[in-house]
Amino acid sequence: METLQQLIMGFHVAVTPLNLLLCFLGALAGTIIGALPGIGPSAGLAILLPLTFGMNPTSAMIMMAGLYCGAMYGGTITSVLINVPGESSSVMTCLDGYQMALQGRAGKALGIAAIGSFIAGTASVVFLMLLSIPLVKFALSFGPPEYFALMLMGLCTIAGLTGGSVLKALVGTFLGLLISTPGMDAFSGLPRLTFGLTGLLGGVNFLVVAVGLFGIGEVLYNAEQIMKLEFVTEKIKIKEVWPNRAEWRVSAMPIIRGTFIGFIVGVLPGAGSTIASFMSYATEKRFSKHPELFGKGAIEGVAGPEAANNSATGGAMVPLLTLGIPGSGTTAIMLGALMMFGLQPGPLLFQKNPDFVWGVIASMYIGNIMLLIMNIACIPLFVKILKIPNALLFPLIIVFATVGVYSVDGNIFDVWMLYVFGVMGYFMKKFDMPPAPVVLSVVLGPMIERALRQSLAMSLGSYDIFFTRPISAVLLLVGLAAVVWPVIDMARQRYRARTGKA
Amino acid sequence: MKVSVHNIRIIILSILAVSVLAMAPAISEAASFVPTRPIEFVCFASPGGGSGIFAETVGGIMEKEKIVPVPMPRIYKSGGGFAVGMAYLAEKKGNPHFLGSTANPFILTPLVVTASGKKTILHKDFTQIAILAFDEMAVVVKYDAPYKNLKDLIAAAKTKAKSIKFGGTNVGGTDSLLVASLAKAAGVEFNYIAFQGGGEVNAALLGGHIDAMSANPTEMLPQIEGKTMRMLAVASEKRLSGSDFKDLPTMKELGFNVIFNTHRGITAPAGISAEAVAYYENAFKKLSENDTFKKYIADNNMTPTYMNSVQATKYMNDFADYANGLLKDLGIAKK
Repeated sequence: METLQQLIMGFHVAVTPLNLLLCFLGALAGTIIGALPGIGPSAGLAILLPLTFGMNPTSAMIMMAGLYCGAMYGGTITSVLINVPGESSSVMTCLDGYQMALQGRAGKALGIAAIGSFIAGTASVVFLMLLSIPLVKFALSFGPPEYFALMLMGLCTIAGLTGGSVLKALVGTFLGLLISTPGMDAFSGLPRLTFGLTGLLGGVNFLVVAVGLFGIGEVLYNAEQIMKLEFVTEKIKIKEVWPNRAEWRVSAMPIIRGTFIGFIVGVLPGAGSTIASFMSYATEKRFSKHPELFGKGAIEGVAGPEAANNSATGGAMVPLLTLGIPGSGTTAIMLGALMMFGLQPGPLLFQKNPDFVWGVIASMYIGNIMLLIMNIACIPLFVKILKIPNALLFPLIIVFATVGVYSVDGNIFDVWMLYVFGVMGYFMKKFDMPPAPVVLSVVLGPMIERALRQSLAMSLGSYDIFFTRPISAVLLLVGLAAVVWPVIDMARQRYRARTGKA
Repeated sequence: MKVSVHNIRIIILSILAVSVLAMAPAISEAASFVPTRPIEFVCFASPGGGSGIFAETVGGIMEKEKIVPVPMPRIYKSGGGFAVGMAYLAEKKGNPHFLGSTANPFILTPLVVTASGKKTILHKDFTQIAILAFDEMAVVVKYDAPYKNLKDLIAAAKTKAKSIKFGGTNVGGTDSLLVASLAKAAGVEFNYIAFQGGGEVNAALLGGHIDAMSANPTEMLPQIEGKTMRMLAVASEKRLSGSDFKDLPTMKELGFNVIFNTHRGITAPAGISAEAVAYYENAFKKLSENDTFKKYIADNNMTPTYMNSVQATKYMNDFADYANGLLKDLGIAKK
């Protein structure tokens, strides 16, 4: 009951005209920022930060929370419409969302994404309210060995994700790992595989790879085809955006599972929303009765990951608000902002500044409602993008991608790399190699390497550390099952086919 | 039309006259420099961290108090441990409308890259303007850890080499050098574990995956108050002035001669005029005397200072020599 009382107090803080306006502006800016490739939520917050200096900390944080949620909604738009992931956690949405757009179901894809995001976003705020304390203990029990096991499990499932040739997916996975190797090696302190290029010292930015392989690669491939890229573009009414009964049935469970996966992964400092959306996609494909439809416009392939990446925002707020520890790049900037305002995010924040904490929590509810209305209402407008003739749309996508990637670090080297990956994406598409394994292993590669080396440093070189810690051992077993299961399954089917004949 | 020799002479003379007139402002500008265009203030790190907040505070006060007559927009060029931003600023050679905000990686990253046998841009490739403050560092353990003071921790490290897991950011960075300094002074060997950023180190400490870490004392204050972490000692010359820290001993008074911190300074591209250097020295001197700036320094328990161009350059060169020795201890630079 105490929680409810505090929440009412929180709403009292959030529902002032000024705070409502700021929440709306934050959500709107977030949607735009999310849709622009390159500027993700963390860069967006950084840009917004100076604007908030005159405000009181609660108002500023309400605006920032609105932006954070908005970015997760916005990232979907470009993923679905033009196959350019607006930010890293929308990569999985490209796989089925863009296919749905090609089939004339862009409105449906955006609709289910907005609804899934709303349900998950709201649920994650409820979890944030009720489960913060027990969950944060669980999150802290994740040390380097546990992260290693988690990431390895992820890496093991990549090959099964995209359908088609397992060999091609494996080649893609290793290629991605290779791309993630250059940079400053944190353990020896020395630059590695940088070929003396300053631009490579920070490593290859994951977004450069994603936007290049997906967006530019797609444009080049389609520009080569003589036939036009045919989007089915009928006028979309808001009624058609809303999922029908059959679509609800297939999407409901993915949204619920995505919400849980997203929240738990979001709470872990050092995992984040990208991993959450990716794990949700892998889960849905595994549980699906028709996994062969994934990658060809399955609505649950959009619903699950979109729910997961939104739910992860609520999760990431848990370590920030309860411990003062940022769980992601975005919350790290929020932490910096809080300190600039003279607040001390830490274990006592809930006791010392309850009006602040509960005001922010309440505004996250309101922000999600605003975003749902805003997104559903705008979908018919967004979908009009597809009516732009290809001769205009393709150059526009390239301009869009270029500006987006440049804006990440303001580094022209990234733009050249973008084009290199674009050409690579074109060839991969020609040879029917899925880009997703490359992109995912670029994300997982550095994390897995760091966790492995940290673990081995902790154990002074002994590999026992991975098997003697229960969470890590369980995760490794699941990873092993993910590799072995398809083999067993294949053998069983062969056996059945043989006995069936006999 | 026939152009006579006389006409040509008049044309040349008038061209000369015009160009002398055009150069006149340039000459007077050189005599006493005043910025005429917005000053791009480059921060080599991302916004929100220690360096970002410093750049934001300095730039904000410079504009608000009209210490400079032009806007001073903050430009963030992060990546590669300062290297990306340094490369950007180095290209502006001779242009006095660009400044950068410096901290330890400005010196350390080039040292490490050089140690790997590659050429890179060094801190010596810039004109140092000033050093304004030092951010201090402390050793922190989990609140319920068996080590209640620094001597306990050192004693535990002495019983078995590498038995104490010390967390921090990348090897070759400020955290790792502080740990190397302490290890050297105490004659012990720590097991140093590198993490991605401060947030991850904090989580690892609270989860009990590492035994100790180095951190900015002010940033850890909420954890101390919340009794989740304990601060053992600070690596500063004198005890910190903030009332929260009056019981926090320095390493020096505990018998470990370790003074290690990160400077907060201002740099400019190479080849700017002596007048521009003098102008900026004066401007940042004014900043260091500003009340808002003083409050920022006090609130963050930084040690205030003012070093002019010559002093800052000497400080950085000395620091580079000292750090190079520690990098050798860490096995990065060749002995």
